[in-house]
Amino acid sequence: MTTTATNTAPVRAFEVHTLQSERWRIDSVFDDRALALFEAKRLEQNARYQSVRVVEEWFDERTNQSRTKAIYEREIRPSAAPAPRGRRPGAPMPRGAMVRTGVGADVAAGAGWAWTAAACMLGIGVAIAAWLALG
Amino acid sequence: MPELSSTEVPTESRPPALERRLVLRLLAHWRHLCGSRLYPSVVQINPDEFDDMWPWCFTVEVKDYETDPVMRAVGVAIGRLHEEPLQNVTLSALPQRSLIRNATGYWRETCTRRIPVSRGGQFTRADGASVLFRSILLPMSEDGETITALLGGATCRQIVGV
Repeated sequence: MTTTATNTAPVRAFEVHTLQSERWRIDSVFDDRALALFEAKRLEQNARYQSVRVVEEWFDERTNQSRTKAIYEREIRPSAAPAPRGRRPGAPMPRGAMVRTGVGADVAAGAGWAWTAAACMLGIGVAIAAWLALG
Repeated sequence: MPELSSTEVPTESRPPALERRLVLRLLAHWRHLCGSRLYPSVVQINPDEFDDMWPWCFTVEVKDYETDPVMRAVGVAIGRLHEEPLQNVTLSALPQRSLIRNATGYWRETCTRRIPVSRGGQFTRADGASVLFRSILLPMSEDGETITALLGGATCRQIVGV
């Protein structure tokens, strides 16, 4: 048990999120990490969800700012539709990775692939030009 | 409201494992009552279906008491931990430094977020004893939209030697 009982919101919370019909939804919230993880793993047994994750949230009362971090994520069944945030729903999130929110996430993911493809094409072009010059 | 029925003797010496299980088991029962809906109705609560947990449970009526909800059904184990009857008492009038006060202290957050919320912690009882508790509040609705009641559960144990 990590918190002292008060009537104000806790500084630290663990939200259990579920992905259903391509939409993430906050399912429940705990102030105890172990309980949240236990509940998330129990929800994995439910076939109605595509993915389950646990997001840890900190709130700094002094600065009035909050931070979130996914501490657990598990894909239950693959999704047929594109991911809502630029990556496959339920794809393993690196431990400690920040949860990406907002419109920039999709753009950033697409741009990454475009730059990789462009770099490959440029490399092939340079190789062909060098081969022709030598020939 | 259904009549309370239990022969379980209340105790404050439950091990943490059982304490946690109550919260998660009550959440599982709430999900069972939900079925395919977002919230179950308070009329679905049948203590006989979860008589192992019911002594540690309570319901809070929110509809028509949005600013200060009212305790309705109270499990016998919860009731015995408090000197005064808890039924029909508004949350603001619940005894300070008590389990039920702490277990209902976040009712606004539960109603606002409209999802199950679990809290635990430590408080000093009126007699000076330190007590660890774990609780959960579960939203309920008659029409599937408006939160009309809360199903709650709470357990506690005294910290010996503090």
